Amino acid sequence: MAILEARGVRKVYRSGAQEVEALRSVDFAAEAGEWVSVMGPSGSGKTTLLNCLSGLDDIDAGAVLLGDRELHSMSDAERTQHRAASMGFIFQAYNLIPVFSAVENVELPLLLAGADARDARRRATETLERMGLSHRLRNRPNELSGGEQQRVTVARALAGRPQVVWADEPTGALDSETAAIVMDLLAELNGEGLTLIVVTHDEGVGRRAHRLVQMRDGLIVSDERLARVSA
Amino acid sequence: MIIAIALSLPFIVILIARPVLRRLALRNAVRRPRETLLVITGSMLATALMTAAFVVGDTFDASLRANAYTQLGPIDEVASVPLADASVLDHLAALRSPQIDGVLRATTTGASAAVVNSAGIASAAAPKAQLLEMDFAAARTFGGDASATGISGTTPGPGQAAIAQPLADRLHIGVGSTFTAFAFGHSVQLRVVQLLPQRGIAGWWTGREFVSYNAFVAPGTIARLAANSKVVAAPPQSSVLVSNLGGVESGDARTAAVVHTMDAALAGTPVKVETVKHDALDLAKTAGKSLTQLYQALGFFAVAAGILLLINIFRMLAEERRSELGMLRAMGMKRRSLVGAFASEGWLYAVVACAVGMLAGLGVARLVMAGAARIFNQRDPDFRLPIRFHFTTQSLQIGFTLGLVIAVITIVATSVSISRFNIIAAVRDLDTEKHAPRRWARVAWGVVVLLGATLLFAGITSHGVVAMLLGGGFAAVGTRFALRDRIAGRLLVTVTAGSALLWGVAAVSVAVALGGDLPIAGFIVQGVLLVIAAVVLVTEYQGEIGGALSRLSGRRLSVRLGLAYPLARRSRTMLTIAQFAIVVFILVYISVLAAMFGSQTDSVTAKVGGRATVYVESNRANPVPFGQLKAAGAQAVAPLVNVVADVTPPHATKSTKSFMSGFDSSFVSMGPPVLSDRGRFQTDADAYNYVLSHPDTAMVDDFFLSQGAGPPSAAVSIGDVITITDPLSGRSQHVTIVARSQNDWLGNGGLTSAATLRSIYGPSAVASHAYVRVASSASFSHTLEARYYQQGAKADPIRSLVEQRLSRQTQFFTLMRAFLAVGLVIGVAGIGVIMVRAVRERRRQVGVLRSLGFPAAQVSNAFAIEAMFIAMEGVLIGVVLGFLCTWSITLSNSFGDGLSFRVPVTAVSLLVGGTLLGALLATWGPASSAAKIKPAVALRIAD
Repeated sequence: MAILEARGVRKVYRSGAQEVEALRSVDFAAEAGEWVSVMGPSGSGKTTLLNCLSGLDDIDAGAVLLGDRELHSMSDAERTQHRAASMGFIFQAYNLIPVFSAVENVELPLLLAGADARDARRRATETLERMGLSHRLRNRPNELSGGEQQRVTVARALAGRPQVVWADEPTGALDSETAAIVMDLLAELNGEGLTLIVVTHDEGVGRRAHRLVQMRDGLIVSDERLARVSA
Repeated sequence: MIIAIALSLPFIVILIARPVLRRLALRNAVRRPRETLLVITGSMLATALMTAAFVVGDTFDASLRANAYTQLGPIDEVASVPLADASVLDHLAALRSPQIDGVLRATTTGASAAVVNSAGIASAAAPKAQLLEMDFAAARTFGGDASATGISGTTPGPGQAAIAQPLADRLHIGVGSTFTAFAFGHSVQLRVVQLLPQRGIAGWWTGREFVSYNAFVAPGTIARLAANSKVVAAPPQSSVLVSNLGGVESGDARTAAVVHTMDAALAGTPVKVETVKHDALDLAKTAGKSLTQLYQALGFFAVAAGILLLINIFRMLAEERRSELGMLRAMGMKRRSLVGAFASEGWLYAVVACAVGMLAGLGVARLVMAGAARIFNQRDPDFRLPIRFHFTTQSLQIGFTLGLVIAVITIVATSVSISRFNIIAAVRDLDTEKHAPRRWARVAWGVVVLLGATLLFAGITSHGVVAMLLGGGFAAVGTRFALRDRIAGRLLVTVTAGSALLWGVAAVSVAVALGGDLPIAGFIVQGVLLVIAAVVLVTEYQGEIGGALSRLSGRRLSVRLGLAYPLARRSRTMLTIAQFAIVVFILVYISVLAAMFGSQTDSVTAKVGGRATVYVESNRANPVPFGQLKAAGAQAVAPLVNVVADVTPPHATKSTKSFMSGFDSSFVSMGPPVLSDRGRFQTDADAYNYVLSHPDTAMVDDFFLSQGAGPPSAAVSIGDVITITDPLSGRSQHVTIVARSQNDWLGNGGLTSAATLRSIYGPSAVASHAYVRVASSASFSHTLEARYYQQGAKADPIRSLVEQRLSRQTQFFTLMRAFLAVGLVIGVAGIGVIMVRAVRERRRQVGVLRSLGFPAAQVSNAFAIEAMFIAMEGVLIGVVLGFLCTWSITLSNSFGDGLSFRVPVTAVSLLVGGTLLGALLATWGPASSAAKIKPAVALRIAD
């Protein structure tokens, strides 16, 4: 059953009189528990697809269906609530809140979803412990290494037990060893039922998914089902 | 202006000769016009306040200087004697000298004037009028400029009068009308034949009022009124007026030479030459200068807030461009060039801000003067100073230059400080490591501690509060930095800042207890020390404060996020808090003082009036027969001799004009005003009786000999010997001050025995004023004025005089608060700048939060909470310090005993509410734009 379905999604960026069509009537669907990698050259529309399908950005045409609801017909507040309740995000640049400690960053989505403060702190701590960061709970992002920061980002994305995690170049800023650790972690979580949509340039990362979607000039040019490979 | 140009030259050279630095400076300045506008707005206010302070001084100077035209004109010097001794001046009247262009004889007397109907009832009266006799033809040629004399037409004949416009207005009469003049117990009916303007000789007035109720009468009229008088009154005067060669003001340059010539002509006589023009111009200058100083001192707090804003703005600019600056350094740009580029950009802002601020200062001054005019209009009409708004280009230049100097020094110092970064840390946006202080730095801070200790010791031994406060401050700062790697940071900060805070509150009381006082400089140093100490202390404990607030809010996410940034960026937060605290401190201080003084009606009335309830003034040439007042219902009457004296304070070479009042035993037995310092005497009565029985003693108040605003330049203390001189006869006497009276609210001047004044002034020392005790003050005053209009009686309930004075004082405080409120705009602008920059800095983080599900409303709430937290801390520090200082002042009686501490709830609530509302409004725009940030857009731009 599709947890998310996009039909004819079109996105145009405008700068003055200039228009760039980033997505050209894209159709896409992801099943619950599926891991989909999205690959393609720079400017092919990978990140735009992630932004539009997750509701971070508006679309110009088409529809994104979450079950029986259309994501872009929701108000901003409803979309925000939906993100808090059922989505997690992992970015290449970590994007942690610099004035919050690791545990505070991780408990953010829990609190946003309405969790009790004590419960949020407990779950955030557990998630960080699972990421091997039990000794870094009180450290701020600028006191952590790149790999540690990305693990905090993963923990933040997972702490709220979302249905879907969107990852935009999750290993782009990491060395290969750390990248492997992070991807193993994501694979483990995917194995537990988490839907994972990963935008990546890295062939090795992309090929660990169930499906590999290739994009070029705002279009999906191939959608290949892969045999899972281990790390 | 030369300073401003010299200061700007390096930046102009950089902008012309260094194209790369020029591009950096100019493009950064125009890249974000809205922020540039905010920076300029925040920076211009300091210049505006300084310019306004100078223009306020210019206006007072010009307003007082105008008296030189309206009440003196060509008259530069005057020599007077009682009319009976007129022949003494004959030699002077014949004086000719290349330094002078006019000598004129005149006869004058004080009088009262009234329009009296056939039933003998006065329909209009001028209690303080002056009769003058002179030759109009000679008067017109006096000084070489007929228009400056105000005299026209022919000398009035018998029964005729040429009257100055103010007298015509007061009596509601014109040419052809008749009125009656009263003096020496006699009267004369006069027909108005001409109206004269209040200008030059026509406006010549020998009193201290700003209005000339002059009536020029036929020669011989005054002598006839004075002849066979049975009234004890000040005799008429014969005067010789002298005009120095030159214009109304330019002739002043010859004053010393002309006085020398006149003294030679008066050799062998006791007559003293009065330099009336020089004194008037001097008074204008002194008053203007002292008001400029007062407003500058008050404005200092706002200027300090402006400096903090500048530092903050430039630190934020540097933080924002850290990686860009790091790259420039990595590419080979020297640190010096980096400072040059950064400072040149700042100089561009500063020049525009100072130019705009200079013009804004004119507007601020205009508003202040409009307020001042309203206050003056509540005074006795005779003492209303007509306000003439005036400014000099010099004042504008000084305001601009001061603003630019402060801004450039701040900008260059900040640029140098922010240029010291680690290139790799800057490029990679890593935290800069802190190094242990170098040995020389520790030694330098040790020297600061020693300097502080020395100042502290010197201050305590000399009772100087400024040195005491500065010493404590230096010692605390020096200790903090000298020991920073030896003692745990928090302990050290708590002890040093806490000690500075306690000392800042206590030092004034200690200085007062030791015998010192609180000068304006001390007040400024105290304010700055307290604010720095309190802000440092609060910053040290920000974590605990933030944690407590977070807990109070139930750990709401927007609260936690709103508090997280100010807690993380402590130096920025500290500077912004200080901006609010320093201005709010002074505003609360003044508000509490206003409330304390404003609520003193009962106690001040009891102090200044003693047991009297009504104060009576009358014409010296025709005084009220005070002996008859008991029959009119007075329970007790204490007549006072009131004269104008030239008073020379100790160690001074120049005398100052002041009233002196002489009392007799009835004053003591009725219950005289309460003394503020009775010196070595057990009771007030002992002090008064001692003065009565010792003709070489007197009492004065704190503001004795004050000219303009603030305390006198030469304060007179107990034990000092002053010289009282009769300006007419030149007779003088030394008197020793034995006690201090309450502030001279009724205008008595110094107090001595009536016998002492009679020995100096002879028959001129008449009892023209009185303290009276009656059952019903209002009805008695009304009856007395009606009955004794011929004597120019003016009776006022003392309570009513006190209320009027307190009301003016309260309004003056309000005016000062309005002036200072401009400083709050700096704080609010500061919050606006910080929030605009914060939104820009955190676009990516806002995008992340929104992607995580943070609602838009919570984003704007978080920004609003952040601004409110900073503003609230600053406001609270200012309020608490303001209360603490005023409370400590009450304890030490620095502003007089009996002053009770009072919290002006409404004023402080308005201040706090208004400031927070301003901060909220300043945050509104940035917070709203933060809420509108689309998550994908924020992430896309940042990444």
